[in-house]
Amino acid sequence: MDAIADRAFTESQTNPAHKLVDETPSLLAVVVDINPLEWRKLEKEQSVSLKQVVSSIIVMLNSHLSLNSSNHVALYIANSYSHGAQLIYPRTESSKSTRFLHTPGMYRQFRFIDGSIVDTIEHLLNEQPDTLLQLIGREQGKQHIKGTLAGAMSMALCHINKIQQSDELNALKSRLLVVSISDDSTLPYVSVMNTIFASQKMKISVDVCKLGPSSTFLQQAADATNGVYIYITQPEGLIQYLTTALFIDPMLRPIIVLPTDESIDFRASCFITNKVIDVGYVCSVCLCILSVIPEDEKCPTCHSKFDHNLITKLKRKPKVLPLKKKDKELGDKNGTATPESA
Amino acid sequence: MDLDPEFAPSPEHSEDENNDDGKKAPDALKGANGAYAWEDQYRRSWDIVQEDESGSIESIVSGLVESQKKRYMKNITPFQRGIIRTMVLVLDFSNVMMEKDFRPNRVSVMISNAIEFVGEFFDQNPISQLSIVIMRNGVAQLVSEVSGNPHDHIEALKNIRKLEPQGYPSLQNALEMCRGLLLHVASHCTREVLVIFGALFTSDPGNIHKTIQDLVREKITVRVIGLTAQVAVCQELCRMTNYGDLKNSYHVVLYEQHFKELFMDAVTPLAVTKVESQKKDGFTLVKMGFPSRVSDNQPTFCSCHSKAVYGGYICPNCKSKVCVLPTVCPCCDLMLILSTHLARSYHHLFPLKLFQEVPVSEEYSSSHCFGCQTQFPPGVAPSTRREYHTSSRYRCQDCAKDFCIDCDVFIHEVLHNCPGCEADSRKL
Amino acid sequence: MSEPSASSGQSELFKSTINEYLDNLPETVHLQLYRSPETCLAVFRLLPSLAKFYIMTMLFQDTAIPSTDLNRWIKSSSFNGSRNLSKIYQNDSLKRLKALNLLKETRRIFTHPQTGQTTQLPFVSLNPTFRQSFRNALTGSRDANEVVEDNNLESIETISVEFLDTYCLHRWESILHFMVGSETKELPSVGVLTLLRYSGLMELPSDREQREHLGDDYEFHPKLQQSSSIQMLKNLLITQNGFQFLLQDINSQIWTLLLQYLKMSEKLMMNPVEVLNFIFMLGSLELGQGYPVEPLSDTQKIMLDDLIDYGLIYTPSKTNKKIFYPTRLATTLTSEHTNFKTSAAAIDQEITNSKNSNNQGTIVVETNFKIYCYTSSPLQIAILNLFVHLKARFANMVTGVITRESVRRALINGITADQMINYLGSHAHPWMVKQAEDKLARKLELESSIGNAAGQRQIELEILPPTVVDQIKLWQLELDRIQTFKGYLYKDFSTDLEFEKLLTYGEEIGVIVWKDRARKRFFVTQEGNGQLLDYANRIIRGNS
Repeated sequence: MDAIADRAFTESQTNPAHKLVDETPSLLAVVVDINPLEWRKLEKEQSVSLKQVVSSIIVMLNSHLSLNSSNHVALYIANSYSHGAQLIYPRTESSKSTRFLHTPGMYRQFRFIDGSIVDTIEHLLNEQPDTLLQLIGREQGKQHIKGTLAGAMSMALCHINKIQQSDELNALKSRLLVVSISDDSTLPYVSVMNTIFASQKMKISVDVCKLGPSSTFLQQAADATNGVYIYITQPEGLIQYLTTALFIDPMLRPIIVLPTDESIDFRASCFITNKVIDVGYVCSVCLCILSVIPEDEKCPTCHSKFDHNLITKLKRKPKVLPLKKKDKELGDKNGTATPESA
Repeated sequence: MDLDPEFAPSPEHSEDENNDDGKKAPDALKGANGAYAWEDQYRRSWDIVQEDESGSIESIVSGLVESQKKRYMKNITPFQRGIIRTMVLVLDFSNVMMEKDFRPNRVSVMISNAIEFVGEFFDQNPISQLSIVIMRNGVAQLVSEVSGNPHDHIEALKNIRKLEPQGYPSLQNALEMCRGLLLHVASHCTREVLVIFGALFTSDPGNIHKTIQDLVREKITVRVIGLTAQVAVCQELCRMTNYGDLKNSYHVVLYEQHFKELFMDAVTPLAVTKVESQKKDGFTLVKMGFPSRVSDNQPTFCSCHSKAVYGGYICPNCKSKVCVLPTVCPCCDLMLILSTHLARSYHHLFPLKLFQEVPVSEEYSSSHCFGCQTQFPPGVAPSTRREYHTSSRYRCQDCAKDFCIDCDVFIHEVLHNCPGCEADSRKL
Repeated sequence: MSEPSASSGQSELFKSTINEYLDNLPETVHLQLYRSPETCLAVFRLLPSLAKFYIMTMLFQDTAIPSTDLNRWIKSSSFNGSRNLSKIYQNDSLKRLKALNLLKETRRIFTHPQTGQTTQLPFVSLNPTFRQSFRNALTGSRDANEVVEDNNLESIETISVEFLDTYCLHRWESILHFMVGSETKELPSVGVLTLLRYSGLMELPSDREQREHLGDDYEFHPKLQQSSSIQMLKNLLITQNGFQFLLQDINSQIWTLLLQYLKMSEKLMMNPVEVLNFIFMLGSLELGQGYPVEPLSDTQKIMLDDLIDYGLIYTPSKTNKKIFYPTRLATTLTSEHTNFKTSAAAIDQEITNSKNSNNQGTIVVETNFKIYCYTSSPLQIAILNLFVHLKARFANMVTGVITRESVRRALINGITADQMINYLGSHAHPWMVKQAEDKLARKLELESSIGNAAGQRQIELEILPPTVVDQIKLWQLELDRIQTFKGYLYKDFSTDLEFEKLLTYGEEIGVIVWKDRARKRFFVTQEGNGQLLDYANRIIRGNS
């Protein structure tokens, strides 16, 4: 009967289940990759246009706002050729400094988001073809245009950092959603990795919604930050993905099974060829990853001279069953010869 | 027993260490007028504060806050650094560690700091290895073997929490053990020892100077963090093993926070000195595999521990399964690592350029911080300008975007990416 | 076990928040409510996080999904002893969804293609009315008349937020002042006083006599028809419930009054759907923006007058009401008050120390039971006076002592120990909070340094001195010797296995009040009994 007798002392903790999930407001930052060429491609293949996707995202942003009256959203775009990465919502020019103030009129807020986002993206899309032509015209032969996804993510992280710092109670939790369509080769490797670590340190989940070709790095980003990586095969049903699997609030994460794939490709990118590789050489000074041994035996990034003896050892071709690459030979650190080498 | 109680108060010693151009006081102790700091006239902190026209001190307070945040401004010249490190952490466990000058006592503060250090060390140096040794009862004891798994070390450190510090420390014994541990380390790795030394003496079985000579020969660098005062033998040890660079290798803790900072300083990989890099005939290339993670419905055996586990990593070379990374594939000896591990060290090698503070002026080109979109304060007319006014803008020299102080600190300490440069698609 | 005792029965009044009111509405009313997108949004916000998540997963799915799919989202972690917290949480969330008729369970019969066996599988789907309205709210497709309203909006001038804030604070404070009986210049209106009397927060001396005459168990409701003059209502006295009401934060105070208003309006033959819709709509309006009265229904126009009295709405001219402005009290109604960032909390602070709004907490409690409160607000002093023996008053501070007598007096007035502790805790001086946090950090460090992980989890933030907290609770126990629960006793189990199975299940869903393993008995709460019975039946069926 003791348990009942001192109710006064236990009562305050009656419902531990509700302590499990505390309803703190959260910030959802969305980064949308609007690479025009890729979207054109996808539109042809799968009959889904950027506009449809954007409208799905807007519904998602609205849903996020409807969860809690103090929730916030931010939308960034990346990979637009003319503007690079950019903040779309909240706008800084039009609104004063009221961005983080309480706006209880949620209808107005919804409408405001709709209007401002649609306008800006429309404007950008109209502008794209001209600037793209200009860019290509100016830089003949330089087809590779730098992807700015990492830039948009960096901006979002700065924004989140500011919120976390300004709020001494850390009440506003944040998460990042990346809607990506471009190929991995457009991603600057070091910058992407840096953003991954930054978000890992800040305990911000990075969710990834991948259209177009699958991405190794974004997969790693989601994995490292306890995020969700979803590769979308049927973009028509995007809204369903956005409101379920990619809609898990930070405070629900401890109790919800994340619908993410366990198998993850952890391959890295070669610094010279920019190709994704699974076995490579690593410079002991700067840790840059190489898929081929450079001709001049110098590291391409830090210019350290490599040990010639070692290189010759590594370059030796295996004698038995030569496969496509120097797969078989063993680059032993200490340079002990392998049995089959001459 | 060879007690070695000679120690010297720091001023004299540092003076003959860095005998600069005949100045009165060494740099570290210099006050504003060139004399020792304690001979300086006392400046009252409230004299610095001035009110602005409206009688408010808000702007000056924000200026002070900003200047405080600027402390991070470290030297960022990109050095060649020894990224693949092997380190032995030597902890003093002699009875002087029971002193209560840190709360609750020295040893528990040391261990908490050490645990934090291990975590941070592997966070920043993912492919490095560590070992832990304690000095107790005049002998050196091995706490954890050389390994790259942070959990082993942290567990080991937690276990020795229960151990009571006892007896005298023996620096020589500990250093000899370090030599043994670092003997088989491959040539492309650094060999480092970090000693936390609480005592003011060492009780050694033989000649410690000989051991120091051996360390120098084996290219082992030793850094010491002293808890009490400078000790001559430690000074010699550090000077000899660091090519005379005492400033960066020997420190004495001033206060509790300082202890932690000194510990954390050791996380950053050492720069490769000129002497070293010239001596070598070249650097090594290490072949590494980047495995993929798999998940199975049924547990299968891993090749490293022969335990049945769900999921794991598949070696790209021989397709055998291992359960933890980083490791060396037990079948084909390929070094297996996550590319994310490697990438964690990149910011040491490619540090971001420091942002320049924009000079105060009447009009600025930017109104919002490029990172967090916070509004900047407006320009100040020259007539009302005061000493304490700042522009609050910090500009990246490459992309000419302005950032606020918070973003600046965040970008250089955590992110290591300039959002402005990354956001511009035209710049390659 | 017997009826809940009188005191716990009364505190029930305040626990019945808007959630419970909504839960208990009949399904037809729910369906009518869900036609309005604003109401859907407001109802959605009031749900627990997991329930929100479930709704989102089903919102854009037109077909029913198997209910096992909902379980699949939850991590099956049972490391927390026998009680699986996430399971309990999931149960709670689903219960709420079903109570609100948001989730519909259907059973479908499946035939196994090979064996021909039929199995029944439960499927769930979202209430179609709710789904449609909520989708409309999110995607922005709105009714035509609302668009018209929007167009008119632009022509209406806005009013400064500061003005509205001071206005509503003034209104609300005048009500609270009247309740604590401090001298006020203006009396609240007859409508407010009637509501206060009706809701049992205040009573006339004649009511009190009647109640005392009839005994405590008698549920007293003054007749509404009996129109009372302001002269008579001036003599209202505060009741036990009124005391408890004063200690709540402002958001729950408003909700308490609004719920009483709802109950009263039902008696007055007002359509509860329209009343609720109007309240929820207020929550979605924008502060500082005027709205035309025109499109409102007649019921809502009547409500408008009442809400003006409470300070929820402002109209520029008393006679010619064409435009109304919602105040902060109204727009924050549907904000969660667990979240301290909302302006609900901000306004709460502003009310308690309107003179000194940048200072958050004002009370310092010492281990010797002395209290110092930096305030000059008569309201806060009056509230403190409810359970503190005040000693001296200075220009910006009052001092007092918590004594056995003062606490007993409060307890007899129906204020619970928890309410007092919560009040002191939530109004504690920031310096006290800071000190408590430092202490917590030091304790955690100590525990972690000796490697006591279990101890680490037990440490909590103690803002108030633990001696004071414990003593107040002890004083309550002195008065509160017996505690009652309604429920069912399970005994005479035939096997150990059966007992254990039911007990573990009961503990898992958190409905066991008391247990005695030796004699194989346990006691289950009234609410949990049905669920446990279901389970018991399933076991029995499974065995047979």
